[in-house]
Amino acid sequence: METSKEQASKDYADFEEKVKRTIYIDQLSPQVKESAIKAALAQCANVVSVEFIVNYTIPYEIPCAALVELNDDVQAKAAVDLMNDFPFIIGGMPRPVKATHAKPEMFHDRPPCPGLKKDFCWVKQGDKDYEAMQKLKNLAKRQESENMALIKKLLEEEKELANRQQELLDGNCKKYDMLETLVQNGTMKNLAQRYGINLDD
Amino acid sequence: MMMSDDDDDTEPQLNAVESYYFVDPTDENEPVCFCTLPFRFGDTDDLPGCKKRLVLRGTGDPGVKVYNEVVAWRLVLEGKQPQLAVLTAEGRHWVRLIRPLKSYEEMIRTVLITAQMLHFLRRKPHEPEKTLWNHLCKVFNKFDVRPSEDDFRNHRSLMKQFAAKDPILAKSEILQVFLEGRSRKKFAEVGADHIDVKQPFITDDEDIDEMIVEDADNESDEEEDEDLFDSICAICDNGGDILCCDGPCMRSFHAKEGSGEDSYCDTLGYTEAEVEAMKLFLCKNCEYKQHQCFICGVLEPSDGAAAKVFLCNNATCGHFYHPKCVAQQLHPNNIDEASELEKKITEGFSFTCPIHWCFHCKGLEDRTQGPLQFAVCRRCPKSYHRKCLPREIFFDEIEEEGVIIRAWELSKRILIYCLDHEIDSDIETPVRDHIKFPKIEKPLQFVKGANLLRKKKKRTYSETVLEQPPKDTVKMKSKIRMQEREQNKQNTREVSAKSFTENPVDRPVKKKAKLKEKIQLPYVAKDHSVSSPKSVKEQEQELPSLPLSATRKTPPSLFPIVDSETEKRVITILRNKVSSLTIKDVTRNCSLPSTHVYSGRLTDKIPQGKLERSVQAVEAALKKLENGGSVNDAKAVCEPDVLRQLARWHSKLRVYISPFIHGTRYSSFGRHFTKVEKLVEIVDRLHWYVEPGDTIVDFCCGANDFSRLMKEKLDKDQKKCNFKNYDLIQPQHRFCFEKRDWMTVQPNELPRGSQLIMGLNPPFGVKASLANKFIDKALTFKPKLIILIVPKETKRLDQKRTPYDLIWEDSEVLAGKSFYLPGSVDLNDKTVEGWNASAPPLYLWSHPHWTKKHMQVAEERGHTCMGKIACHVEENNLSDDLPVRKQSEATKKWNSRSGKETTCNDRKANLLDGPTKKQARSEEEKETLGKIEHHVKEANIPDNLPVKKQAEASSKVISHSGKDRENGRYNSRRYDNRSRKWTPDHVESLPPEKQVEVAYVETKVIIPSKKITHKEQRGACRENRSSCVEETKSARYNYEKIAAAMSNMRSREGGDSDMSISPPVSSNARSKSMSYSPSRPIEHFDTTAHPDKYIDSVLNRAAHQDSCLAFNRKYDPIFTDIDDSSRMRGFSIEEVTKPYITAPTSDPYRLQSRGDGSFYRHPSSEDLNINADVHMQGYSARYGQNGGDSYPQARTVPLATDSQTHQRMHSGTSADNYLSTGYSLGSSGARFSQPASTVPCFGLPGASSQRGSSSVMDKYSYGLSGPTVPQSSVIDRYAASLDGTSSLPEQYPFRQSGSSRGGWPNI
Repeated sequence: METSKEQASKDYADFEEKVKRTIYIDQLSPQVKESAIKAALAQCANVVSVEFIVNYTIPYEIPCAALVELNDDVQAKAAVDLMNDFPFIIGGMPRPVKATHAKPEMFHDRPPCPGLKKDFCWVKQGDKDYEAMQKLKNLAKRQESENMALIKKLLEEEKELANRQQELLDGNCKKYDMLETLVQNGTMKNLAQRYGINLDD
Repeated sequence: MMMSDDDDDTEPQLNAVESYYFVDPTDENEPVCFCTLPFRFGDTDDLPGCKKRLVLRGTGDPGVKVYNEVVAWRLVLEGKQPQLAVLTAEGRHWVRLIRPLKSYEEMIRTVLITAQMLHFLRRKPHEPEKTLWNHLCKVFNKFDVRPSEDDFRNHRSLMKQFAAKDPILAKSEILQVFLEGRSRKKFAEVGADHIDVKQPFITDDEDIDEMIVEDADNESDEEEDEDLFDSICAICDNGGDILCCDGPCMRSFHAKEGSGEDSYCDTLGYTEAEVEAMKLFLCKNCEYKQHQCFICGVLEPSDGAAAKVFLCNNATCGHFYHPKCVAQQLHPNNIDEASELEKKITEGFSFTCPIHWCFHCKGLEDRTQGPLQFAVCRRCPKSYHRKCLPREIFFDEIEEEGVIIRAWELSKRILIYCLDHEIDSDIETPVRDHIKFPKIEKPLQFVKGANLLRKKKKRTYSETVLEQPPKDTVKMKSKIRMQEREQNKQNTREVSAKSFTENPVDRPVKKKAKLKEKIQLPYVAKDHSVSSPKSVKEQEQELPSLPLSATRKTPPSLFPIVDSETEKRVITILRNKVSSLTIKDVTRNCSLPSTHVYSGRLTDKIPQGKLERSVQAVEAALKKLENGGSVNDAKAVCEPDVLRQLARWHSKLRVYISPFIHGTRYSSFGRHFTKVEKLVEIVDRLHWYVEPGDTIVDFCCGANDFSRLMKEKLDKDQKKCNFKNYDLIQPQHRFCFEKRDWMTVQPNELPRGSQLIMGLNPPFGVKASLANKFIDKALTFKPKLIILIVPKETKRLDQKRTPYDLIWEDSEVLAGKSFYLPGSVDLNDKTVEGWNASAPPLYLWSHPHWTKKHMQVAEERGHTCMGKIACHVEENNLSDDLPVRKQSEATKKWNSRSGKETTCNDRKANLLDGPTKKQARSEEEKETLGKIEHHVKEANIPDNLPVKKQAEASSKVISHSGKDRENGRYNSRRYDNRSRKWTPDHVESLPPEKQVEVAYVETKVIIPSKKITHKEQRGACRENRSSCVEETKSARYNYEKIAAAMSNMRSREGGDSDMSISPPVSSNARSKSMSYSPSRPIEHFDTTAHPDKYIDSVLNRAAHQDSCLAFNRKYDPIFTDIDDSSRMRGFSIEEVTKPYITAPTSDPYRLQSRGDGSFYRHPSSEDLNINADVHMQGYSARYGQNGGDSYPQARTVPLATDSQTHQRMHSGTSADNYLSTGYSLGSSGARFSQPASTVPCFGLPGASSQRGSSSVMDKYSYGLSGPTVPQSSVIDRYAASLDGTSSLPEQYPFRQSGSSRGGWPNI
């Protein structure tokens, strides 16, 4: 019994250490794979493991998130700082990822916290805790729906933003194409030559 | 220089010192500012106890070195120039300081500026402050940082003394202001650079200045864009915050409500948020494709079959015309022609409207020449040259009563209202009824009605007391800035916007009136929802929410249903949150570090409409030319500036777009790290220069490998050193790392310069702008050594204020795949490697104080032979400052074509010492020979190894791109050693003029000793060598032969297109060429005249020929011309080789080339040729590779004497070269481009000679980088498509992105 307790607390300490050296990356493009994360983070840290967080709540494609375990907490700090300080892009455009330090609640394989005992029981109407529980329950419901609304709005805004960016990019691409054709087919050079000017200064 | 000695010297002792500097007697390595000494006012040389002493060093009058202890200094303002003097400790007399040592000047800059300021104020006490600044800017224009009030900061006490003791200065108000330090605001208007940055008083303003300067550069670039096009509001004809229509009309408008208030512009009435949200702004005319005829003003459809008005085809012109109207104006006196033209235009024939020719003289506009600039009427298609402008049109500077101002200066144009239009004196423009937008019932009345006018007038009387609100200035800020920038550009430039000329009292009143008027206009209140006083943020927030309501009907299929109650709640919360955010906060958070600034921001400003029009115009212009039109006709359609503009846009867009196309490469902030194996090489070389106790600073350490490696190495050598590594991104290895922006590191944080070694791989930035910034920052620490990996276009350190001396540079060590992009993986999860089309050289620069020591190390270690030697090192110190300056000016003139500041220090310096050098030379020659021998031997050992090994070796040799791959296949080492062998010959790098002469003498000198060398080696590498020699020889003879054969373009093209060997063509060409040039036949005879001496030592002759050839190519105009024809080698080689194999010796060539050289020795033309040679570097590397890659079979052929293979190789190379030839021809005058494209055609010998010569040529190439850059960038494109085999396809645009460096970080 004692040993298992010790074991449990040791496990939990290990876990806490792991939490400290893990960062949580959000807004990942679905195309990003472990190798891309590893390479990107190699600039500031060594990636030990990557665990993608599966999205169970919304049957809808939202940006991925991942828990990335690094060598130590110094590196974790460096990585988080890096991504907070500058737009950090993994796997190409368009949008930077976000990072925070991981929290224990983010891990699905969280070991039980030693010394914390959980009991379950039914609360009936008329019990002294009933009112409070009811309130909590409602609050949870409300928060969930608000959360949904928030996500929905976010997604819509993102879509809008993406459209705008795409439009801008398309516009610029179009301009570039125009110029590129002109340059490629030698028209510009030709004319410049005839004018006797040097284009390239 | 500012200190002059104009009075005569009577004293026998030392009385004036040049090139002075001061050191502390306790530590003579560190220069100190003399103002730490006590200051004496006036002539008093009675000094009580003076404890502080400094040592004055410099050159006395007769050229003696000065070493005197001094105790005090003074400043005399009475003369023509302020005069500085110091009091000697012994003898107590004053020694005048004439000119500081260059490197010292920067240190005492603030003293000099303060002195100059005081002097100016004393001489001209009544001049306004602005004149003072202009004067200071003029005097100190050579400083990187322009004089500012901050420079006086540390000299308050000095200023106070003068203010107290000098009667004139005591009255100076300006000085008082400076003393109190409160003139900041006023002065901000003077220096445009400081306009919007309120500098905290005690910050390190140097980087701020730098950044502002940078910004100003960018902006001026941007401004240039605007100059070309119409950048004033179409409604009110004033500048300011305007929005350009993206449609064909290309007009600009004051779009935002409230903008352009000072010109009473009615604006388009959009709100700020609306404008923000617009991606493409089309004015109503362009939106509905209805435009007005610029002549009769009638609004007509302009698009499709129903079109009644047609657009002028000039690139920058957005005016539409009725065919009839414009035809009449174009042919006012010829009805027949007019009606014909009218018909043609109706059918869609493109035309150029009358605006583009001077109404008076019918000449074209030339924006670069003042008198030929155009004054363009804003209301009708009439333009005048400045010189042709009717006298009745007055400019705004005339301040007479009753004069109607009709003309305003813009930067490169004049804006006029021609005499046909009556000016409304209230708004100072003609009545603004000239714009009609479609879909609006009645034509928009931009004019105030008669009622309003009356009202306004009334107000004018009643409210004249109104003070001018300060708000006004804020609003006009942008305009003011524009003007000021202009003023800075040209001091005499008049203000660009006419609003300035308005009576300031009038202005607010008028505005009031206008506001009133605005309310009555229905047009303005277009968007009622936003007219309510909401904050911008709210509006912004609203924007996304608008589509939200629209999309609500179609929610994502599986998304859980959210009840509207909750949603509302959430949205309210969000809105509250959003309103607390400002766009500034966001941009601040998203800002990239200064070291990785994203340069793409300007692209948004490229209006699509303008671009489209320009593109069309270019095509139209070319068509016109092809149809036999004159160049002037074409220029009327598309002026040269438009073309330049397009080129600029193109490169901007390229930079902007590449991250999107190549996303994977950009997860690294565009950082490029040097590969570890390269770092090892660098460390190997650098550690010799390190002394114990030094601090090695890597200012952009990336993965922080360099310091680690350095430490390992130094630990082995028992050298204890300190390290300091900076970067913005914390690397995995945190060895001595500090997460800092290099730009924020303060001088006191690092040890003194004598113990500092700095550098390595800074971010380059577009056109090396970031690299320059990093270097400038590094220079503030005055480190003894700077090691750099920077692109060639970086400003060289010997061009800096404090010139550094080049110890060596190596452009080969980092060629090929020497860099990688950290954090980026390609599809196969491999780290993306950076391929550099043109390798950034590795430089080692030394502070002049320690140059000698470092040069010694370099010589001991043979480093100088690897890259090339800085020959100006000594000269720079010895040679007089002034002549050098003059020289540099001259050089600038030579190269003014390139438009860039040229950097030819080497040459400059050498010009001075040419003759002495020559003598010193032969001696040095002997010394180096030993070394050569060594190299040769060493290099030849691998020759005997199997081919495989050689390939390996070749990868080590690291040359420009793939060049040595080709070489490796043959025998890379051999070429490598040859190139080394040459290096000493070129080491001295005399000025071109000299070189022509000396070069040949030298070759002679060397010959005997070389012979020995070769004989020694013969046994070892006979086979390889002979094969090589045979190639060399054959190519050489080909070269000669073909030199005689001037080919014309046609025949070459034919030959190249199928790459076949076609002797007939060449012989054809040859015979043709005979008639071309008289000198060639002679050569030809020569070759056959000495047929027999050849037998003896094939080896060394080949070598000599090679070097000889190199010389020829470089310094002999004739040969560069001939080179052109040597492109023919590809086809004729087989035929030519054999007959000449036993033919001539090298001697005649040498003789000849000497002769030719002297014959053609026009200094300028030589310069041009050198120029041309520089181009070649870039190409040859690339095309050499092409050739190699497209002939993989060569690899399998043993290295024996199969000259056939080689020949095929040659033809391949030349074939590829041809492509380059064709294109490069276009970009500059034939003189430049022709030789430029020829080099690679040397095939093998050519290639090797390039390598050999590159070390020398490189030196020039900096100076001439102007022309180099452009050409290679043009070629880049083709290179990419050509060598597709060797590089990943996705590298293609990346390579294009840099201007010349191709695959270099753009971010």
